[in-house]
Amino acid sequence: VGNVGGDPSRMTGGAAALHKAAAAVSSAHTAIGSDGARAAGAAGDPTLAAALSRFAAAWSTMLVDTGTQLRAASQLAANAAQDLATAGGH
Amino acid sequence: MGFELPPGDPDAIQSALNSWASVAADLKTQESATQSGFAAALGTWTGARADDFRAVSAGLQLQVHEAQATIEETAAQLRNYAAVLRNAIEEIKHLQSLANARQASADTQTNKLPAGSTQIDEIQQHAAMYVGSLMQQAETLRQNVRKAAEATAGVVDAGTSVVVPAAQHLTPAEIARRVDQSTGVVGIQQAINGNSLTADQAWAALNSAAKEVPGKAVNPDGSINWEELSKELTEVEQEEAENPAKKALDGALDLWTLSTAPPSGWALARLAEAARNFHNAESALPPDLARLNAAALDRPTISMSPDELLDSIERDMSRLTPADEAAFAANADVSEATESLLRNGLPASADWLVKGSVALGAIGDVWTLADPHSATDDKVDAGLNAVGLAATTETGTTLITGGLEATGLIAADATVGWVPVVGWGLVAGTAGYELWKHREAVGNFVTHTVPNFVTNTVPHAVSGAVHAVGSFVSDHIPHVHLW
Repeated sequence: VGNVGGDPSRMTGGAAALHKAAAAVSSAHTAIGSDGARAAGAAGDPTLAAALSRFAAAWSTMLVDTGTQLRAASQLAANAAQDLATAGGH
Repeated sequence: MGFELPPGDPDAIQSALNSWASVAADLKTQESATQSGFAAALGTWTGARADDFRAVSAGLQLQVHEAQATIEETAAQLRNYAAVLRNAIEEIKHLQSLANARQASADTQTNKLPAGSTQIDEIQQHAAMYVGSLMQQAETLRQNVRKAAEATAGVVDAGTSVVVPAAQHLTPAEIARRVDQSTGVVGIQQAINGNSLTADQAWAALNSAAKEVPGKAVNPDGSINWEELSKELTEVEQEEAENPAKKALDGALDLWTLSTAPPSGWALARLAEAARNFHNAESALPPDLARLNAAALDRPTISMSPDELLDSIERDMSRLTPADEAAFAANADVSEATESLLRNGLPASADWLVKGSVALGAIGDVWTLADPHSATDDKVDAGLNAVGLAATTETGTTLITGGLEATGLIAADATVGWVPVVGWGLVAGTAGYELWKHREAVGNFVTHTVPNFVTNTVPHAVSGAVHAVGSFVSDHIPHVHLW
């Protein structure tokens, strides 16, 4: 049995906080991507511009993925809280 | 060669960076929110799944922290590049205006002269020489921009390597695919959006995060125990240090770290380099003094330690008055650069480095200042180069010689022999200043960023640098009282 005990209310609160953080982290990818492209275009040096494009690609993707992982973690916590609540809490 | 402006738009770069800085600030907030969210979920949750979730918690917190720190530091480096670019553009425009004015003046003068006057060629030649020297200055500024761009590109790539090592030859699309592969979230976004994500899919998507932080370094509430993580890193380093094969790779990895480590690692690597320079300077100073004795000094031995030497320089250079310093103001650029250096954060305890450098900078170009370290250091390099230039003036040279005579280091008639002493002193001063300047980066790296490398591909290389700087800081910094 994976879940032995826990306070469903507190766990649900934690899941909600993670869900909110997930959305914020994911949304940051837009600025990193678009402003990275803008900085690359304005850099004036091809080597630096290419490095900025790579950076923007890496971190915008990483932010989306981290946000997705936080969403998954949020859902797991919420599910565990639900299971424990169904089983009678604590 | 002319007055062509370097390509690039510093205002547009700055605007983009402001947005990145805002993202970094928000990620800082989310780092805290993530920590408290996991702590709430794990506060009462028990069982095997809770333990799995705890490992996931630390890994995801590390990912958010890495994103925040890397974006913030990369933005800071790019801001420096934008400043170098902006300065070069403004300076070259100014140089061109000077050239135009000089040529116009020459034309006005020659138009007043009778045709065939020998003065016409002379005036025009002088004007051409002047304009040529301005063009050379413009070319130097363009070169500085190119060097800054190259150094900044290295820092940016180092930031990319945090998530995708050795990405320099990959396209952005390939990089994005590699990130997706490493995180393992491919395909689950749709399931999340459709509210059909299964527990197995969720755990699979969190598998990579769960492996990011060793169990020993995870607190009960799912946060990261940074101290324990650093300890783990040290243990890895010690184990590897005992392995001859690993040891043999250290040198190469150190070099590799310089070009690929994340920004904090880059800063630390620079510090390690400065620390080595400082150590070399200290180690080599007495023998150099001994050689100097034989060649140019009256004294048979010099009993001063390197620290005593620096202290004596500080004492004697403190005799410089504002009037003395004003003597260097004949060259407006020198004056401006020196003031800039002072305005930008020299503490009172390091003020002597500026004054000392006025004296010590005479051969600065021959020693450490010939090759500016990076865009980050432009301001310092410019300042030290400027005071170095100042010291080549007659007044400066007199002060140098007078100062060193007063310390008893050179005989009154010595004119050349002090050069090695000055050189080593400058190396030491520059390295010490570098360490002081980056002290916050060192602290941040050791307490926060170092642990991020536990699962990195070069933990031993970075930890080697940490060890080097740690030893240096504990062994030397308190002694020389730089902060």
